[in-house]
Amino acid sequence: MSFTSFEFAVFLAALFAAYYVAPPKHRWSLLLLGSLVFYWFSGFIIYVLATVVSTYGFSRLLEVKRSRWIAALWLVLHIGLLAAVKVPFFGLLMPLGISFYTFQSAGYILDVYRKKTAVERSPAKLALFVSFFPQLIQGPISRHGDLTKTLYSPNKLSSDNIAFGLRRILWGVFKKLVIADRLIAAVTLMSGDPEAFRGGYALLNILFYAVVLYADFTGGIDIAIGAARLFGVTVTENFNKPFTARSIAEYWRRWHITMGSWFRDYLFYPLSVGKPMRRFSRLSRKLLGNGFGKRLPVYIATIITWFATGLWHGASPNFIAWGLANGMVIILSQECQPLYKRFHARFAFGGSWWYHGFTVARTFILMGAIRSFDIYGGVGTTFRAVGSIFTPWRFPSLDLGVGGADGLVALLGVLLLVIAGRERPRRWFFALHPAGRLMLCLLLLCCILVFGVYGYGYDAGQFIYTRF
Amino acid sequence: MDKLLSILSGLHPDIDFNSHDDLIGGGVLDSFDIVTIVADIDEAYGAAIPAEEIVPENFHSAAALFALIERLR
Repeated sequence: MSFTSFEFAVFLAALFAAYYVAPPKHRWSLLLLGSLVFYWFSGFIIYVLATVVSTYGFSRLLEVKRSRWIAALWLVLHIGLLAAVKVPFFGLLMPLGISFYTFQSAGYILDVYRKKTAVERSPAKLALFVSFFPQLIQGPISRHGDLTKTLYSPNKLSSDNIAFGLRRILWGVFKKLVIADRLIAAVTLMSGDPEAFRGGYALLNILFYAVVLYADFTGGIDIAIGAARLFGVTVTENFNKPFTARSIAEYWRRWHITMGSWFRDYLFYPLSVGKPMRRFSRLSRKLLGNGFGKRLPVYIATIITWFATGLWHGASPNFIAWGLANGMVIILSQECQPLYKRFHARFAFGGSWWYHGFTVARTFILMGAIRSFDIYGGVGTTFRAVGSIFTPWRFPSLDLGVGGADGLVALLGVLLLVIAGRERPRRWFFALHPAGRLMLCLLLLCCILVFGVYGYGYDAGQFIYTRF
Repeated sequence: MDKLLSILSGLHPDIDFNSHDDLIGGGVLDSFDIVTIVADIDEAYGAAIPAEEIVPENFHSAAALFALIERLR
């Protein structure tokens, strides 16, 4: 059941009515029922149920005996299962959203082991935490301590929550149907034939994909956060203006935040301060001195973390290359810090608006280049396509399907995204009379109905991130 | 506490770790320093700082870090 389908709207409305009609004490159980119904129509429910049963059992065991082996066994079983469905060799179909609910459950198990969250004694409540439908198939990846603040509470009908929820859903649907689905056909076309669409077209493809991925993924997350809020549940934000980042490291603190912080807390930190790394840190400083010798252990942890992040996206060479490229650029930019410092000491434009703009553009371009591993699939194809940008451009007239009116609508849509992301227009919007805000939202709804692209190709309305 | 102060001054000789109480927010310690400090504390005190204790509150000041070591030992 896609978030942008008519079925989802009906499902959401029915669940909304049932939730607020039910006695407050039992409201959370309707969310569980709704989540099971949602997943029943979306994927293989057996994997979610197995995750619930095993996570419940292991967390109760950890409550009795806090042993690292129990936590490790859970990780081996579930990360192993995740790997098995991701590696094409085994020929298993990948259950929808398994990367997301596996990671959310892993975070819970590790938090229980670390005594950072309370053990959930009700199996049904834990089932709701694992399977909560808005975030089941493409995140955000919530922490148990955060999500459960509002997930089980007898949330009351509130006009603020409804307004917030509907606004976010509407905004997400706009991004997805008007912008992402309008441009994705062109991206698919250009990525499918990199020999024909080379040079300037390859650059255009990378630019289009940045817009498509942003509109698609943040749109899906908007709908998830909005849908949860309709039931009074607050889900952690997953984005914070990623395209304003001035470095790759900063980009990853702004893009898919809940995945980045998951890898930081549950992989990067444990790797960096674990016993082997503590020993290695002392050895490395002895051999290489207090400069590079001090940085090397962190770099090794960085590379391993990015390797794993690549694998999480897909067990294929292109995603491993994608992960390693991210890690390498972050390390390289760290190693260049002394150079930057000397440069800025010499030239005083470090604080100027145009230098700021330059660093933002540089990050956008670099991320575009790294992302092309995802666009083109194969590592060799990626290098050839990106390389072709630096050869003489020829523009044979090839139909991208986004000429004329379509191109204009996409462009205006992107313009609206940029405006809505800025502080002043936001303040203006929220200072409006509620009736004025409602009018603007209805206008947006009209735009979606008129300009939305319905049912692109055979994979109608599918979100990009649901494949991870 | 003396051993800890010597570990810290080894990294940043120009900082007075007796009085500084904003080592993270003030940008004195970065992630490289944290990993180094954790490795040296392990050697000096036999205290292994686990990943979940890598939070700013534990690294704000030498005193906070020492309290963490005492707690772990």
